[in-house]
Amino acid sequence: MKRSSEDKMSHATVWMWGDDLEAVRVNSEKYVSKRWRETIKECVIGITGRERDEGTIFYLTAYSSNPKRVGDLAERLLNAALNLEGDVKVDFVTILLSDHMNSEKESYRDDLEHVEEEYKINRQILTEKFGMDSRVKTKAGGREIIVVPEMSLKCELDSDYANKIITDVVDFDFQRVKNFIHSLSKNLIYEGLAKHIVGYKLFIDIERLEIESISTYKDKVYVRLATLLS
Amino acid sequence: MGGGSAIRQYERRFGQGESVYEKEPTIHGEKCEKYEAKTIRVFGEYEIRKTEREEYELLKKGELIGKFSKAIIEEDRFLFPLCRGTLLEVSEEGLREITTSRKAEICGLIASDGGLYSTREHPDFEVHFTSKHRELIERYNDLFKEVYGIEPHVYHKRKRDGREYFEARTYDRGVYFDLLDLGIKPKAFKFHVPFKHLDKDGLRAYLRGFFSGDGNISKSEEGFSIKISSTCEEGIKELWEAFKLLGFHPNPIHVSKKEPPLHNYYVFSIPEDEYVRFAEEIGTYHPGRAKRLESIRLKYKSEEEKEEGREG
Repeated sequence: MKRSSEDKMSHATVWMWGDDLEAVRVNSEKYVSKRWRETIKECVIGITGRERDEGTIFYLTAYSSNPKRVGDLAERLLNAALNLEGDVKVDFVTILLSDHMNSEKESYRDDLEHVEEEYKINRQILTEKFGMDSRVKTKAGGREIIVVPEMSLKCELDSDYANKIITDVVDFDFQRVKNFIHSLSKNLIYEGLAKHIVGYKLFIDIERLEIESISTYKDKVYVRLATLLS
Repeated sequence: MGGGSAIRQYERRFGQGESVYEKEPTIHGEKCEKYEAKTIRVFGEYEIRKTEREEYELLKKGELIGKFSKAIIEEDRFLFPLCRGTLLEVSEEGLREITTSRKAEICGLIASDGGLYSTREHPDFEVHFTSKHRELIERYNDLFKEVYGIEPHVYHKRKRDGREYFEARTYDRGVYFDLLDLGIKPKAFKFHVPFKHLDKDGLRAYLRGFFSGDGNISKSEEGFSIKISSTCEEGIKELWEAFKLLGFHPNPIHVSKKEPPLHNYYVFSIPEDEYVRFAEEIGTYHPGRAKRLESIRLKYKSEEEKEEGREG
């Protein structure tokens, strides 16, 4: 099992950047055949990747209760990710075996209109909160303040092949997040892994966001907000 | 490690021909031939002499510890080229082995998109670098040839829809251990900046290599953004520190936190008033980023000049 390494008892990285593409199936199947017990209800396959032209972070998660499908599922998920446009790098494919049905907890059913409305409301709240910050006020000097929060948009996809598939895109640019999540979903449907989009959910952690940077562009002051490393 | 006597090992590593002495210096107690040599620089307990044969001798407390045919002389240090992209730096801080800029760039490229692989079961001594961009693979191979005299084999991976990946690989024990000893990639999940072996030029080259892999320049409504990201928390903290050492003021590191089986990402960006400096001092060989960096440089440079014109 070349380069596969166990982080803990319950999950293992079965593929990482630089490994042969075929290794993901072989390593997943080996891990499952060795570790699947009667108590296991579900296998969670996680893909951690980035599109490095624009710096968009993305995650793919697929849930399966069929140990025989895990290898194939992992390989096709990786293909769907690597087939995205741009300078895509998948850092890790990791699988986790669980005694619970984790997929039941992951439910994202908002429509895009609701997500857009929520994004606007969140930006308004953040503008009020951070517009008062002395660093922002000094830099703005009366100019318009635009807050740009880092967000995560999750999308639930229905699948005949897996219990469920979730895509998650993280970026500062709302339009880019929407476009990227559509490309991801399209690839998953094209791969035959997903049938259709069930819904979305937007995550902006208002309480934990802090100022990452303040910059000026075309007479506007842009305040980037993110969860800083403590 | 290495075979032969201590004197032979020193001669192989540092010696570039015979040298000359005034006061019968010795290499580990063994007497050497007498030649005229003139002290040209003293750094604490280290003395550098030049012989009539245009060779350089390095002495510690009067005892010869090395001789060299070439030296790079700078205001505050002497650099003696050793093998495999290594320089012996002698300065007021003492003696240390540093990497050349070219080797530092290889280290940065490997830290982002490459790796070292060998185990007891599979003693492959593999050193690899993977990219979608042929230009980056060519750059890596050019650097590798210059530093190690070996041309990595390039594997072309074409996926079924026609998308391409390239991978440059070597299977050389010496190269593998040389890079492993620098501590750049102790585990597949981790990387480190080899601070002990990098001077400021080396740091810049290391960052250029890393940025060519795991950097990005995005464009959105608020203009350009130059960022570096990684899943390795320790590594990203060291990169941030490296920018600070070079006098940059990187924005704080932020995190995209996820639960297993997903991994966290750590990201930091360069402030916009340092974009021109970033473009001129760090730069990149990534074709797309190089293009964007050049347009950023031209845009901000012309704004700076306009500003100076107004002040003038």
